[in-house]
Amino acid sequence: MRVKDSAGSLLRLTTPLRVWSQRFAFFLLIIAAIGMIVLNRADTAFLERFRTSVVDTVTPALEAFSQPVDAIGNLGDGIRNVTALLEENERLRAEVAALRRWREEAQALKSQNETFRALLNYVPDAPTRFVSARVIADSGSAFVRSVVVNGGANNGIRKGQAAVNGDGLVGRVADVGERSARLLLITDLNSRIPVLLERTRDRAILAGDNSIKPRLVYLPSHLPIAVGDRVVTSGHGGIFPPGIPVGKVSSVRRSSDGEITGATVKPFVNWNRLELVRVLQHEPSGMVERPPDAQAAEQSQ
Amino acid sequence: MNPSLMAQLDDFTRGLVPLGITFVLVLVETLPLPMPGMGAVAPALSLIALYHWAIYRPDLMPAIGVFAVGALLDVVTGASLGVNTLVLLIVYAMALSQRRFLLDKPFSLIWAGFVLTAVFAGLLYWVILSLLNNALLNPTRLIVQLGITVAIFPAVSWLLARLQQAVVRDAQT
Repeated sequence: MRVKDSAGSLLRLTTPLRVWSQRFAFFLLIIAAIGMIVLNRADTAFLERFRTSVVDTVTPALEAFSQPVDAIGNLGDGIRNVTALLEENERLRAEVAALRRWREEAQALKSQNETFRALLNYVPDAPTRFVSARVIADSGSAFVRSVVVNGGANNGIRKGQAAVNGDGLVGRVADVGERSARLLLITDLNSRIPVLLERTRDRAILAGDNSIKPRLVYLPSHLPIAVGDRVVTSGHGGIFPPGIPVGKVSSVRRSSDGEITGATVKPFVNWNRLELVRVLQHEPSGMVERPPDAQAAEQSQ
Repeated sequence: MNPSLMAQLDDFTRGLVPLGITFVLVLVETLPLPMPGMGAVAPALSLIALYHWAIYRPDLMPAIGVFAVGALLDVVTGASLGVNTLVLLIVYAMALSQRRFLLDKPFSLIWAGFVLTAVFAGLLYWVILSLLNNALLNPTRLIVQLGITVAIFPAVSWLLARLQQAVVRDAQT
């Protein structure tokens, strides 16, 4: 074969050795891969450090690659926007008029609320600070809903913090490196978020299932929920600040005697245009601590 | 400087190109695309590259390199660590075993070989992840992703072949 014959003399000499060692190494590597899968199930601190440091290392490359992609996307948006300018203007005028009315109402309610709070000696919620970060990698997998952002521990991002954008809740921080972090989106199979139905104040858990519409689980079975009800974070568990908009109930299934057998939520976030997120620096209160023996093991390393 | 040493160094550097470009493709594969719904079904470029190099230059794509590519893919996509690694290693071994049969065949047959490889890889991936999650995962997105990957294969393979001619094969002259 031409390619092989033309190989350098050094290469030709080492080829038999290389083939032999490849065969041997191959089985070792298969075993190593299976070992990684098993170890990953145990969720060890070592593998977590490995994952975050690798993502940290490739972050500059991901940032550099994603910039032109963003630029092309923005260019496309720009062209579309120019053509739809008149229509958009009309729509925005109507929206501004509507929002003005809401502002009046909100201001009235705010002052009323302040009066009531003063009367009740209400403990105010601490104001939430946030870090903005850009999405630099999407999950390229059909079975994982997560993204990588270009901010990490150096920017004050910590594991478990909530990530939002202008529309609503995006997900939570699952892994943190020094300058990158992985967000587990609320649609991921492993995502569980304590939520509240805003109208009825009933609690439930929003469970992702990799589809674009996560399910509501642990719902009281005779709840009067309806399609279109708003779902917000409940703040239970202390990990997320309460009241972050999550989505709207998009379907409710009931059995013949009216018991709820399933409900799905359509998130407010537009997953196709996820460019910037805000990671909320909510001080977790009563967050689940790591068991003391795990902490001791980490310190002794 | 010793010219033969220079030549060896040159060969060595050129020899790193297949692995290097595969690493780059892993990163490209995970870029957030500004197209509706593309994120989850972005084509598996690294799979294409792996198949290509396994058939044309397996000497420059050692198994340890495949392992590293798979591990990087696992880490960057956030999948369970080891899953892509295992799938890519098995797919690589498959492609390598069919290499002698495929090497001098027309492109359509190589493409057909890739279709089989991709279907097998997808099936393996689906089975492993379903087992890990204790649930039969909905394979719709994976099927779309594989369809796109197969459709884009000729273009990516053509680019890789140009790169191979321009950079890698020149190393032996």
